[in-house]
Amino acid sequence: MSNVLHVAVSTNEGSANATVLQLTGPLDANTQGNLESAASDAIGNGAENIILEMGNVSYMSSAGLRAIHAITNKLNKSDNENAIKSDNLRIANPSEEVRKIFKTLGFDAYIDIFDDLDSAIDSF
Amino acid sequence: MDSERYYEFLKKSRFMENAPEKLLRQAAEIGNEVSIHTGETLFQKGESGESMYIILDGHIRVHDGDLLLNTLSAGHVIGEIASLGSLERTASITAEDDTTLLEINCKKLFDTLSDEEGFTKSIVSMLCAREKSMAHKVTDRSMRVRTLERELEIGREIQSHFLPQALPDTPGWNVSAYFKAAYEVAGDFYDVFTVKSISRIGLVIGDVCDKGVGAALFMTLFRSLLRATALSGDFGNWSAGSGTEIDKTPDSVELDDNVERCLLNSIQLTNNYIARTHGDTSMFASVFFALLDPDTGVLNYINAGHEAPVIFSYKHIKERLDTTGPVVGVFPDASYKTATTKLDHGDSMLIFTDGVTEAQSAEGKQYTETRLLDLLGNFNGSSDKLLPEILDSLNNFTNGVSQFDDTTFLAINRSP
Repeated sequence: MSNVLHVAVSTNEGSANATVLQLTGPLDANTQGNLESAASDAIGNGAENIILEMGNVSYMSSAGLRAIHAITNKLNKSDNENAIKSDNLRIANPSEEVRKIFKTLGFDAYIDIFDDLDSAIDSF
Repeated sequence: MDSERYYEFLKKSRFMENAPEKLLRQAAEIGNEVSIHTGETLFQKGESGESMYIILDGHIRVHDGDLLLNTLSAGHVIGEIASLGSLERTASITAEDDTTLLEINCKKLFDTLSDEEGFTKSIVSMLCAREKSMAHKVTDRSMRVRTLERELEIGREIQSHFLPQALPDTPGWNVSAYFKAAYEVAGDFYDVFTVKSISRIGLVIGDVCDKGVGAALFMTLFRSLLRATALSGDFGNWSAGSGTEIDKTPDSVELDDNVERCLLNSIQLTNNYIARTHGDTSMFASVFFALLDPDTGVLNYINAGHEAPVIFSYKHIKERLDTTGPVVGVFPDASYKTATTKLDHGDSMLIFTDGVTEAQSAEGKQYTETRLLDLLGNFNGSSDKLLPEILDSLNNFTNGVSQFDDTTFLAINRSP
């Protein structure tokens, strides 16, 4: 089992103006830093909307969810703090297993999850 | 003239300060100035090299792959071990910014000076001085490591007092617990306590996201807030903390049942406190909190984002207690629901953390929930044999692979 999480960053130039972080590998205590720093860089470069494409995430632990929550915190800074759902972060294409973790820990009520990248982009 | 400048430089460097003048002069004479740009590598660990270098200007990083060992500036000598000892480079050197160095080819220096009286001795004293300073550094570092280890040990001991020192003795019920931290300190916790004012046994298991010291600090906070809020009725200030907070939650239902009120009050106050006070850290815990009526077996619970506990009886899984709300600590004003079930005579309930289901074998496979459910569904021993049997199964599976996450079980059984 590979212990490395790769994060590929691409910008969608369409109307959504969303930055897509495509994740490959496990998202856990050892790799959450990769995601957090890639997201921080993207936000530092002006990203306002972020989509995490998780099709190739083999495994996600609660530490991974913590990193995802930290990204919503960073993105929401300027927005309405009382909004229930994150306006600026979407999850796309998670495996059944990863989707189940979002659901079990109750994150699905706070972050929108889409079956594929296109519908995540269209949702902005 | 450059060699005069190099000579002055060498004389001031700590490595060379006691070298005889003749050696310094000769080194300055044969010295060759080299420049490396930011990010450029001078040499890599493992290479052979005849030259040592003294930094004239700029900064270099001494590193082993990604691990930064030191950052050095003007006056420091590098590469002397490999060049003087005909050894491999012990670390890699990369320019932190544009850097100039004086390269001294030691083979050349040896060739011209080895016949000089006192030369060998001066090289030996230079290396001994270096050895002495390294020995000091190693001692310093070992002492720091020891101090940190002692601090962690103290942390572990203090943290163990945040777990119940004894489980309440409840006639007709057998309660047992197992807890093992992956590191010195843990993010998992469990708690069992009596709530006198409503005649219930409180059963709590929690798993703070992530591991290590950060999780451990939050573990103490979660555990204490949950217990203190749950016992606020016993402390005589039941009404002070309850009504107003609960009414603020949009989904809240009218509660006249103090048991449900106790559960909701405890989870919601803890959630709102941590989410509002520590929200920036994104630290959360999955929590299963149940109140058991030991007379009837009725169990009221909130499952806040936790692995669903299992109720089972002789060779038969009866029920899973799925989540009734999100994890605690990151979503302000999150709504939680209570749920109710019942443990009949002979029923058992196992509450566990994902350190169990995600325990890894040498092949990197996970123990999985399926394996745990298989075991519970086929369990036919007496209740005191349950945890030992699970642990046996877990140990057989991991077969010596070091524990990856904290592991916690809480088992209760109603006598037949």
